[in-house]
Amino acid sequence: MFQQWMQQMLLDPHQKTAQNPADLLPSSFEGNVVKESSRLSAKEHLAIYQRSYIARLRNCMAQQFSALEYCLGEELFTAFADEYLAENPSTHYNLGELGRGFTKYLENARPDREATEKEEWIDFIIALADFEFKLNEIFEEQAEEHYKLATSKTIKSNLKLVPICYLFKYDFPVQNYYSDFKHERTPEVPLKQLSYCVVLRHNFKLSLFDIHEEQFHFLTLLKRLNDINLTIKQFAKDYSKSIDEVTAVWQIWKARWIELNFFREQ
Amino acid sequence: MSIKRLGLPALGLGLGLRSKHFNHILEQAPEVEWFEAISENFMDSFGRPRNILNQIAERYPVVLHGVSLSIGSTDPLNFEYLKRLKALADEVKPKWVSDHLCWTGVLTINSHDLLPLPLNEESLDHVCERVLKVQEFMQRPLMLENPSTYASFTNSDIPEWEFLSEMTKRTDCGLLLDVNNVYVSSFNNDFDPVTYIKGLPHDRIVQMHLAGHQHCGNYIIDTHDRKVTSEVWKLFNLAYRLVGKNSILLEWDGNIPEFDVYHSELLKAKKYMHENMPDLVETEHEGMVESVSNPINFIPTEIA
Repeated sequence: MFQQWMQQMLLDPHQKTAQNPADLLPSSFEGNVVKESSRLSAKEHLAIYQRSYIARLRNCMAQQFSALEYCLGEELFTAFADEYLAENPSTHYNLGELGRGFTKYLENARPDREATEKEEWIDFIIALADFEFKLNEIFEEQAEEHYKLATSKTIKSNLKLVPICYLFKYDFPVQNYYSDFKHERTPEVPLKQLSYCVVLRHNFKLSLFDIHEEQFHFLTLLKRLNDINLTIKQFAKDYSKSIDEVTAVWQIWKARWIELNFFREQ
Repeated sequence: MSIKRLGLPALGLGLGLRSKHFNHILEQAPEVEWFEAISENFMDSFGRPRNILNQIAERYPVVLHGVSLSIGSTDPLNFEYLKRLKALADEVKPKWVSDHLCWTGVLTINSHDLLPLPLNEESLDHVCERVLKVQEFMQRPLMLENPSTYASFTNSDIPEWEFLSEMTKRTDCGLLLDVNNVYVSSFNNDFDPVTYIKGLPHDRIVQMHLAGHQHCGNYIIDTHDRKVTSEVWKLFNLAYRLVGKNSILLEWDGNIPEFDVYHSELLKAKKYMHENMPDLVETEHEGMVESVSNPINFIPTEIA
């Protein structure tokens, strides 16, 4: 009961919820739970824990969503993070899990949620939060690492996408914004524009590339079908092109993608 | 008569493994005697951090230091957590595994803070029972660290050093003596740090921690973000003379400096092991603005 009381005092220091911490204490507790000291009152002692609880988790959220914090500015980001943490206290030992529900929270918290016309910048921050969290997951994901990268000499039937290869489609150029921020440039909130990107991990390092719609479709097919010939065939069908036309384009894409470590050799 | 340090080796002077220094350590192979890794940063990681830890563990002795065991919580032990910790330990083969005498949450919530326990017979029984279960599951002794505390409780009636002594007697666990934490807690909670250090079971101390703290006037925060203060070096000197050869680790978790600065601060421990403590300059405490205490450490995602 004592621990429930103390935890409630940390999670809800201003007692905004219906739970009165005092109700959590056994009747044997009379007066203060926390001792006063020669320098601080009991309340001041407890306040140190109350301040550090939220400050520490805010700090972790800011590291987990660093581009989003830059985009929103510290004050607004902190307001969102505080409210999110109040509604979703951590239940996992792994701090990487702390922001798992943040994108959903932002979607639910958007002020224009009921409006028919949505604010574009809010759509952008939701997309950016989604992208950042997924990158964190991809960075830590378990996957085969010891494979041979394909070269220009690898025969077509032996070309396979590297084990960690994710494709993203957003209504904004999220990848450009994120990469600019990470490379210490100062990106502005972009205008709405359909964007596609691929995230690869090789030798435990993430690489991010913009691709165009046709490439996105081709790589999506390749991930699903896991076979170049079948992918070319399906792609030709989807875009009403001949096999020869698609093969010619594929040769150009292939050369570039091999250079960028998209493929391993089977 | 118990075996000194539970029969575990005295590793010498070590550093906390921080992501900022990963490349430096791998490329320069600095002459550090051992490293301490935060268990939770690697337990669920199958990417670069875990790979780097494995590479470092091949070259240096490593110990695992946890922040989420929550040995004092009234929640049931989290065996999923312990399973992951055991799997990491089986892979990395640390010299030992440690955590803190604290609780981190209850009702499945994790505050990610090292919260203090009331220290009395009831909590001693509770902690000892759980230490025995953890040791049985992990198939290895557990080292528990004295946390920095910012509060004590009206229902506490056992001094922390006596609590730790009794805990080691009942469970055969080891101690990680954080000298900085003793100083921080003693200032915040009105006890004598010298009495504390003298009162510990010295043969059970397997490891020591050093770190910097933030003095805020009428209280101190354990920030791990600056150099060790002269008050802590003096306590370290006392502790080292009482304990003897050991494994000394400097923690630095905020405003992490370049590796060489971090290492040179650790190497001061060599000077301050000796009785006369040459060149010790009294620390002038500057800045009263409260910083965040840092028992946790998050590894950010990197892109090429």
